[in-house]
Amino acid sequence: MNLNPYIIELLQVLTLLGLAPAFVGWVRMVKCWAQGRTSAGLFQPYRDLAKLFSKEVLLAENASWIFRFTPYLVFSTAVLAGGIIPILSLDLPLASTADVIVIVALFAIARFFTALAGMDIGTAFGGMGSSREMMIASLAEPAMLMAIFTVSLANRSTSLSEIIQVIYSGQSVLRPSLAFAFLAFILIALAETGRVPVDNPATHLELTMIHEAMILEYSGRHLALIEWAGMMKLFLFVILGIAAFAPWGIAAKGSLLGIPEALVYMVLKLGAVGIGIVLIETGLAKMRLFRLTEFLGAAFLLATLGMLSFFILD
Amino acid sequence: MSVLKAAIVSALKEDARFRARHYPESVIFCVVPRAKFVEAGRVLKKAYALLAAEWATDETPYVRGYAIYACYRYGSEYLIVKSDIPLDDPVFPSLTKHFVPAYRFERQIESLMGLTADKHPDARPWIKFEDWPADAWPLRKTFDASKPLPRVQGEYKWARAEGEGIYEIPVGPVHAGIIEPGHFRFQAVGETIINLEERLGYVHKGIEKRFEALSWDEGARLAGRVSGDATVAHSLTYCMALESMTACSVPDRANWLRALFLERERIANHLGDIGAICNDVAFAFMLYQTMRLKEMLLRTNLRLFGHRFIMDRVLPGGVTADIDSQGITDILGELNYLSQEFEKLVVIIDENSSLEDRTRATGILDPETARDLGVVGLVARASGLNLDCRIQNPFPPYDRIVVNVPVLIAGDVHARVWVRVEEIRESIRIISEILTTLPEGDITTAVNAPWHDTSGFAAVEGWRGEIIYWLQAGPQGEINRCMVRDPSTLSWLGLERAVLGNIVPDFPVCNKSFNQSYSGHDL
Amino acid sequence: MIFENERQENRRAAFLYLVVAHVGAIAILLSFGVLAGFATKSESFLGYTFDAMRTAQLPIEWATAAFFLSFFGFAAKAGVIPLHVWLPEAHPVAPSNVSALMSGVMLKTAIYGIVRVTFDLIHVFPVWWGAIVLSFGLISAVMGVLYALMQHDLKRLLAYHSVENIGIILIGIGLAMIFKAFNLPLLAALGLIAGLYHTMNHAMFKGLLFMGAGAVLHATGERNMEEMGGLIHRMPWTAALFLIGCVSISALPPFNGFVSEWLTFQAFLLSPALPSPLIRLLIPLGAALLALTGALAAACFVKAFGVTFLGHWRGHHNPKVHEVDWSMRIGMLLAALTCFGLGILPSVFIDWMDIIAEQLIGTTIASSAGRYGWMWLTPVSYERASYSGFIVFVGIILVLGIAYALLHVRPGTIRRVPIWDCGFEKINQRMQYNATSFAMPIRRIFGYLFSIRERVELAPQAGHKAFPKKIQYHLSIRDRVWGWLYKPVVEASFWMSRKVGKLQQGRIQAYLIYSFITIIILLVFLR
Repeated sequence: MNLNPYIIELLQVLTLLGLAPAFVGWVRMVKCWAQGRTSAGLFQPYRDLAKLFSKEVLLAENASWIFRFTPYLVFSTAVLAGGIIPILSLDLPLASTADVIVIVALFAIARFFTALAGMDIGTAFGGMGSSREMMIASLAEPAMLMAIFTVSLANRSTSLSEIIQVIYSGQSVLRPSLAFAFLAFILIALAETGRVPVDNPATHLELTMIHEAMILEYSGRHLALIEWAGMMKLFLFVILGIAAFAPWGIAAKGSLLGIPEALVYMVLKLGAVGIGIVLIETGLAKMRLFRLTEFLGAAFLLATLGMLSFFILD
Repeated sequence: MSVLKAAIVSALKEDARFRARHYPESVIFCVVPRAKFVEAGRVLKKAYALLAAEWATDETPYVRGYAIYACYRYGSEYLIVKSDIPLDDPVFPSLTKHFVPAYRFERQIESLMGLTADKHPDARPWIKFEDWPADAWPLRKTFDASKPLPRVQGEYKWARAEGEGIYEIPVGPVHAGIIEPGHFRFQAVGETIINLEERLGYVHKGIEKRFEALSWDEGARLAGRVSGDATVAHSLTYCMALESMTACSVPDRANWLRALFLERERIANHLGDIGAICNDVAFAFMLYQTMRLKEMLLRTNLRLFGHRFIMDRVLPGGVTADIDSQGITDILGELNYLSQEFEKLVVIIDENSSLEDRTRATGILDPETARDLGVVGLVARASGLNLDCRIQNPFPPYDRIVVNVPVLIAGDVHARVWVRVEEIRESIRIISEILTTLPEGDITTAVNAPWHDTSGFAAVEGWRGEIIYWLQAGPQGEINRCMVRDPSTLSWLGLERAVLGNIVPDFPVCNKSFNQSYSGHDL
Repeated sequence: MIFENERQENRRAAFLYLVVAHVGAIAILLSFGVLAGFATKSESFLGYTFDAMRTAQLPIEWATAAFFLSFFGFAAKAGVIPLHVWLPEAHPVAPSNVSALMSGVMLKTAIYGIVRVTFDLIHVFPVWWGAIVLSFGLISAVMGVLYALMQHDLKRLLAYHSVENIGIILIGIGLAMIFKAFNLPLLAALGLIAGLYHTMNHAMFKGLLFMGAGAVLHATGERNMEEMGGLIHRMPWTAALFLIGCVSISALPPFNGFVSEWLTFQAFLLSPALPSPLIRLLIPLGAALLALTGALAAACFVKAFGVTFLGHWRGHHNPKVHEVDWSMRIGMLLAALTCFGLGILPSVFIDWMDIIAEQLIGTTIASSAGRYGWMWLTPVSYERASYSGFIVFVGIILVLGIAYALLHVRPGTIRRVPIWDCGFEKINQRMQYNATSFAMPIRRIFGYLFSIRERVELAPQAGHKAFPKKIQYHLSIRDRVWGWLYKPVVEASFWMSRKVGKLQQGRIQAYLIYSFITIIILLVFLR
């Protein structure tokens, strides 16, 4: 039995777990520079996580099992998604477990339970966060699927590693439809990962929070798991975008030696995307809540345009 | 004769007695019978006066009863109406029918002085909490502030909206970030705010009571700590009230230095506010830039005047920090740099459409409501009310400086940002003017003790707006009562109205655009 | 339903239901009449067997008439928008076990009817029939879930979700019809299987949810979610099982709702194979609407579960809520297990279902769907798309278990403390989100689809609105379809009956004159 794919799979999950905080650290670092501040360094997110893991859990007295179960579930769906999305290599035993639609649905499970956990304690903030999150999700998801469908139609598969293989084999050409889908994907990814202008990951204002409001009552290792999963989600969305639109560098099947090279490519791409995120976040204020309809509507429109141009031009 | 005095005289005839021993003499002081207290208010309301403050005193040291005071403002005139209240019947007629701000002033009087407002629609305590014993009235002379109070169980009845789908959001008292404590209770349906009720008093420190145990000099230091971000303005108001009672003539140089401090305080706070407002809509870049400029100012303060916030540098009789020619050059250079940097930021604020989208038409306080509520300062100026003590009651040296303040009518967050922007520009200009015309001479003079049973009044335009102090000397010439009216007391009311019809996530930016003081309100 | 007929709303619901059912039945009978008429070309009753109908040669106009009559009839029974109005009225007043049955069996009978008439009896049809079915499906799905979001009556909410799910089923069937009309049997089979799989799923999770709602109703005496909350602490079994229903219906892996939705998406993604460019362009928009439906359904069930089972009790009275007895629990447990089974082992069930596709379309997807063993679902080809609910489930459980174990190597302490919530200590039941509030953002975004009236009344105090004494909030949401479609009909019939009523003056002479005139007219026209 060829053990290589399993080693790669393991490597990939470890890369995800290990590098996701560093990516968040990088984004924060560049952001500090952009604002003319000294940063706390690349490793601050690790220190934050370590601190949270070592802290005692304070649990609201009326928290049910859903509240305690959610952090583990959110964490494990993120890890599972990391095993499916090609980060380093196409040689993934898990890749055929789930296609892009399933990956979107995996994030949806995490969101579903986080939203429930937000309502579990029975506070105004938690419910508010849940309500907003589900509203944004219901607008983002159609746009997300439209963007993904455009990519899938162009590459005749919904499986990510198949898509990359089609791109690698040179059957895929640069299409206008993909450009539209890519733009749509950027907007959606900003919404899904809770970045400015949709949500402000650095805010302390409970009333304006979306994701943070749901997890306001979490502490200790529960909070650490959720934070870590959040970092992985950001990381995975970037990787998802890379895999669907610019996969060059990912190791092909059967190539264990391609992994270090893939790692270098990945780090470079992540670095560039991090700068891009900072440029957007520094230049924009957070949108008014109900302006998001227009924002996500634009994403949907772009994705639809991509789809239409696929049918008309290709 | 002044408009307000004429109105009182023609309506109340000989019921109104105009009394001396109240300073400055430009502020009219009249005593009316308790039964005519509301009548006086009605007449003044018809003369377009606004209620600036309402307070009570315990005058038992003079072997009198209690007294209720109301201070009205009309243009550049102030008029104080006093009515005596007998000890055995601590009830006063309520002004709520004519003046909205009286609503909370009177609840506060009832809570702290134990005088009941007759026909007041709301009997709930204000500032004092429900877990105080019902008969604990800290401002009465019989109350011993050194003894701990027993804690009792009490219930505060909130305004509550009925109807299916209504829920409440309790916000605070502990807020994330470096904000003072206060509680906001929303009645909302989803994101729509149906009603907002403020509950303040978490930082009640008994400051007004504390004044009564201090000497006049110590009082100035305490006044500087009423609201730390407006320390210059508060201590200045206190000093001016005291100086008016004692006929103290402050050296000219001291007056100009006071104005310098005041304007520097204004710039620093406005800078911080503009950044914080932008930060509340996740435009953090602006916060760090304005904080950088603010910090530059504060460090210069520390270097030249010995304190970052210029605290305790304004004392009765003058100031304790002077400036030399090197300092003047430094400040002028700094202002030049500040002005250049600030204008760059203003361009960004002006041109960033995503920022403008958040601030425009958010949290509108329309001019009519603003007038009804009697809001003051920059909140008023953003809502079309042209109120500024530096212009209407110019205290020296503003009588020799032309002050142009912006008045905008939009009343939204954007207007409140823009008023601040214009005020920073104006303050930069004023400081340059002060520094170029700063007269030579002493910076302090001796202050005599006030005569017994005199009272003094002063109003100063702090960075939030008009601050009023009213001091009363006791039978031995000690402080018998020090009434502090921070602009927040009035402007907090505006926030409750401004957020109506907005969505919940827009509340923080509305609140920040008001940025009222908790400490100055709770006292 | 009339069974509990003391209340007026019950009688109204029953009446509405009877009317719709009868009109539907008449339409269906007429449709069969048309089919039978052409089957025998005689006046005997032999034509009423399916075999006879199947062989009938219909001219296209008559086939269309037969199809639309039966589609209208079955759609009315299934609750397809705009024929859905009886459904949300009927379910809340019916006993919960009847609701479970009604959604489980009756709606499915209607689907059976539609499939039988189109694929079996008529079996040759133009593309635009499929497009019509697809459109009705999409409208029902999106509107159904939006209406459901606006509800705070638990059973009404579930009833509107039936409308949504019928829509999703019709999407699959409509796609199958389009593919079949273009003679793409494999794709048609995929669409049909997707629709039928969802039919089966819906029977399971909706039955489970209705039983759960029944359990809640039984325990609390409440249907209004705004009066519930925190039931998870007192009804742990019902809560856990209801949650499985919620996850299933929200189309989240690894449960069954996701499988049928995924299959439908795959069917959508095969639309480039269609020769007609117009349909090819429009079909992806359908996929977007389906995605919207799925996401909104998730939002709706976060609301339904969150408000009913989580948080604090919202009601005014405090009943002694208790867990339901074992017979009810076992009923729910079985349904939940089926949902789970259908979710992780879809290829097994699809094998069974393929007989239907085989019979109706003549081809199966089983050969490709189950090619890689029971764990994998590969509807078209392995390269195209694959899904393994089983591995997703095992993967989640495995990672979850490892994470849990690693974090519990060192015994960590959990300290139970009062709720934080900004340090305010006097928290009460009003300070939590409720159903109306939860749906408010969506109500605002999609508000133009409803007729919404919102009003705030302020009673000022001390003469100024700054200090309101009393604040009253009113919200009313109405079904636009009711206003556009049914209200005119109802008003017209009332108007007619008023006019007719004027004629009835209660005098014998008047009636005699009417009769006389009638006879004269009849004589004149029917000589």
